[in-house]
Amino acid sequence: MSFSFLKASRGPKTPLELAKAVKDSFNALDSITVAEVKALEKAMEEVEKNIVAMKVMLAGDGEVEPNPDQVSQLTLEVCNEDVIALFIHKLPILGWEARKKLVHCWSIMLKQKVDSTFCCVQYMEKHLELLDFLVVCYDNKEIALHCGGMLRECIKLPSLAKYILESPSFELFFKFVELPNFDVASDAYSTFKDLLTKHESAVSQYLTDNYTEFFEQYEKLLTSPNYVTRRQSLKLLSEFLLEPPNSHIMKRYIAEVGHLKVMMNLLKDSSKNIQISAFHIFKVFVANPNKPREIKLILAKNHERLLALLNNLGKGGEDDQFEEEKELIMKEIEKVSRLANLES
Amino acid sequence: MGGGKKSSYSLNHEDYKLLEEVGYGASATVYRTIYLPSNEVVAVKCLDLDRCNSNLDNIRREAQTMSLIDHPNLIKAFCSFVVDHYLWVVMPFMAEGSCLHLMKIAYPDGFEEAVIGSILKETLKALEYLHQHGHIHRDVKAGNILLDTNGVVKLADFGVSACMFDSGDRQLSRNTFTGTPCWMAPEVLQPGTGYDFKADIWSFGITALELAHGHAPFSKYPPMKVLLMTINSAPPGFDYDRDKKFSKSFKEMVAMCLVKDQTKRPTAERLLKHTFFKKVKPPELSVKKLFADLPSLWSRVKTLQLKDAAQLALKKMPSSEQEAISQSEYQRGVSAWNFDLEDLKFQASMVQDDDEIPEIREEDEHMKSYMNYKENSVSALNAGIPSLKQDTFSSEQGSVGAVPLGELDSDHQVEDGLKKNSSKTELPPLTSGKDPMQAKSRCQTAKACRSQSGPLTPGVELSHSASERAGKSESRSKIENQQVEKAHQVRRAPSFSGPLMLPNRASANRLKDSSDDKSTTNLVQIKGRFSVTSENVDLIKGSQLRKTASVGDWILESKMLPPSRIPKELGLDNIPASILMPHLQNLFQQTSIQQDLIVNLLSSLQLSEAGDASQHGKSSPQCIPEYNGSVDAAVSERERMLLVKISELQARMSSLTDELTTEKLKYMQLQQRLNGMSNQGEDWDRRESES
Repeated sequence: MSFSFLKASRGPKTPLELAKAVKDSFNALDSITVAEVKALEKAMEEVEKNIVAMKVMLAGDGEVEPNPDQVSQLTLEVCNEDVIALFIHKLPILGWEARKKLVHCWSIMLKQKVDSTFCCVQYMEKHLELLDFLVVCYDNKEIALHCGGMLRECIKLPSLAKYILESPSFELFFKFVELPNFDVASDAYSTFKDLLTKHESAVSQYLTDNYTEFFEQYEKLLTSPNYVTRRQSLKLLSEFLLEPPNSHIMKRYIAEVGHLKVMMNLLKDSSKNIQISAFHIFKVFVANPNKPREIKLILAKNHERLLALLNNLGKGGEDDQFEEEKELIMKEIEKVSRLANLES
Repeated sequence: MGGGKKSSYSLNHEDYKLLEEVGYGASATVYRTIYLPSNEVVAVKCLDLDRCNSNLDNIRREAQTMSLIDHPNLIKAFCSFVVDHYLWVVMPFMAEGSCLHLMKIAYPDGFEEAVIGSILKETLKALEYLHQHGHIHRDVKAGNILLDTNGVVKLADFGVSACMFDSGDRQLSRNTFTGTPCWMAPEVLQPGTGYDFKADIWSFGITALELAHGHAPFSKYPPMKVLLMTINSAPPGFDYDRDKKFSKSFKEMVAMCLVKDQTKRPTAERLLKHTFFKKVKPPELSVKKLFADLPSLWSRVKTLQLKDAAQLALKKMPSSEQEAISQSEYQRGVSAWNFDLEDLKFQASMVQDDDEIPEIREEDEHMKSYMNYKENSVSALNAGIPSLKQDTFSSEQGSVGAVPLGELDSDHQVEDGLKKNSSKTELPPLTSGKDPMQAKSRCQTAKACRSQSGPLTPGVELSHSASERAGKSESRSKIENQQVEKAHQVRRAPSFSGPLMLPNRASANRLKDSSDDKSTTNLVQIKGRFSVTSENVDLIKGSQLRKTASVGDWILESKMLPPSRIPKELGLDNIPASILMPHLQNLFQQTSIQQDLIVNLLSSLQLSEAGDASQHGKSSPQCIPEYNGSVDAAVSERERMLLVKISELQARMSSLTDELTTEKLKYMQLQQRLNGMSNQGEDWDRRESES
């Protein structure tokens, strides 16, 4: 690193020059160059050198603090020169460390305010297809984590998060969170979770508009044979479903027998952790003062087994609140089971 | 670099043939594994996700991080995938296992400096990389430094054990792992603060000591004690006498890491430039030779496992079993943290609930009376000096979480100031039966300052039973911890919800400071006292593990333990029989709790005398004479009550002698001596009160 840095600083570049050099070097990674080992090596060296120079300008080098003016100028120039698109499109070609550095630079520039506007964000808003590109990158495990990192930086912004939620590529997440590679699946899950929890109004709107499709897909996660998928999706469900802005979604959800059945099955899961998480959603079905008749019927039909199951749930170490809730829920189930008019 | 390599491993668990266990822990086991498609040897860590409570966020985050790191000194995960409710992490196989394993098997007293230097330098490079990339390791210790046959050193376990940070399933976690926070920086142990990358530097310093001595400085204490010691005592370090073989630059480097103020610790980058690392040889030269003539890693692991099992089987009492488990966890190098203070407290309070052995019930009974006693005395105090109560209690509350900084600071200053003298005044061993008694009585005048010097006699030889004793005394002290805690609960029931032992410490600190300032007559005793917290920690560390354990009780609870030195001394002198020791220690620890009470009272009194002088402020010299007088009166009063307790307990002890038929004779001897001593004590007290 220090070697390349010295090289870069031999002719100290202005932000404008650097942006230009970055652009040229990225553009040099064309299909012809990539096909040829020697040429690619040389082109890559140039790219990596420029990325290092960029990182030094944006983040300093540990001794010298970055110059805010230079940071602003570089950010602006990178936007104006369409270099951002190059960053994203060429990311898969780059080497391991270069990718990491580039992601680092990217997250600094994204947060950079130039003349009261976030020019990088604006750029992304104008080039939303780049977000779709990043999502699809989860399919390439070599770059999945880098793209995931960039993506999560983007979806901190409501406008960009909203776009992904409503884009067809959002559906891909249901697949990505179950990828066999645990680290990639984990990263995808982190992004998925951020999308569903960070921006309440956008999420609420999305869920209202796509209620059926979304929960159809989500049920697949909840009933997945993959332990981690089941456990995480259940946890996430309670995180967004029980949020106040989504209360109308929640009411709709807990009125549906199908969802109750899924929860009841999860209550019987072999994992104690899953059982407990399931209880925290199951309780809402039972506590609902306006339980539809079908829900009551199922509760009444299964009340003996439910009570036995709940009785054993969380034995050893759950907190008082849990026990209290459990008690309440069990009472309610007993009450429902005694309602004579259900039996007809 | 490694980035592209990982793609060559499949995500199908059938491609991996798990062989011998090469590492095992509470919720994870590491296997030597053949990757069938290429016939390559790898390590697979199987982590039981269902044992991880709350959510999997930590594990997820760590998996992501582990895939993004790439450094020759860091264990990188090739890939990871889910098999049922296990997470399998495929990693490079390090044929010689961890430094901890190696020390346990072949280097119980630590490595040579040249080796340590190589290992530490490689580790530090890994830390530098991690910190540069914004990661914190959080678990730097010898158990996580892995070695390969060619001498390559890699830092491992990048938080895959993060689920142990959870506090959800207490019952389970208590029974399966009782980690010790030995490597944790003081600021990490304080609630409200978390891991800064400087915390890794502290752990690095502890690891350096661990490699130098064969064990971490506080490794033999129960977690709670370690926690308190880390927060309250002076940082651990090298001992002047025992560690002569180590170079000055090594010692200096370690001292730089073990500074309590994290802002004063160097960064990894800066530390790498330290002169100590300049002369270090590459690990291929120094580390490689360590493995000559050693059996294979898995047979070593097996040996350790068997040892653990034997150790467990030996311990019949539940409490010692617990201790044994925690010790064996340590020996295995299990990443068995429990970062939750609440949890530690909970563990402490649980010890008693489970233990059904009669003597503990006895203690229980005794505790009740003791607590009443304590309550009374405190209420008396309250009545007399309401404002003082306020002061004392509020500071106690504060100290549960964070010991007020000022106290810590003054602690330092005093220690620093006294360091020079301490080892000398300190060292003469108090081996005769009489000496401790004198010390004890002295400690009354010195406001319980002196007493700790006794047990820290370095010359005591270790018998075979010492390890037994160590284990038991440790469990004893655990119980005691929790009793003290209980006592506090009773005392402060209305306003206090989660007491730790810190209150004692806090008030003792206060006492310490003011006594330092007060008069030169007390100074000798104070020196003795402080040497405990500074120099002697090192001294102990330098000695053998077992000894550390048995002596260990003293360090933290020094303020509460004074009289219990007596049986210890006797025991070390006369009795090879380990069975007696717990009972005796038990007995005297009871007394020591009471001693603690005295200290508390004293500090309160002292405060009142000092008027509005601040906790660390100097009390005016004029106060001293009358202060001493009143204290002495109170002390001898209490002392007599304590002695009544002692004889009460001795009576109980005689009933136990039936069970101890083989040791009966010796036991009787002992008891007689004890009686003699308590009489002496009484005599002395009488004299004292008369004077």
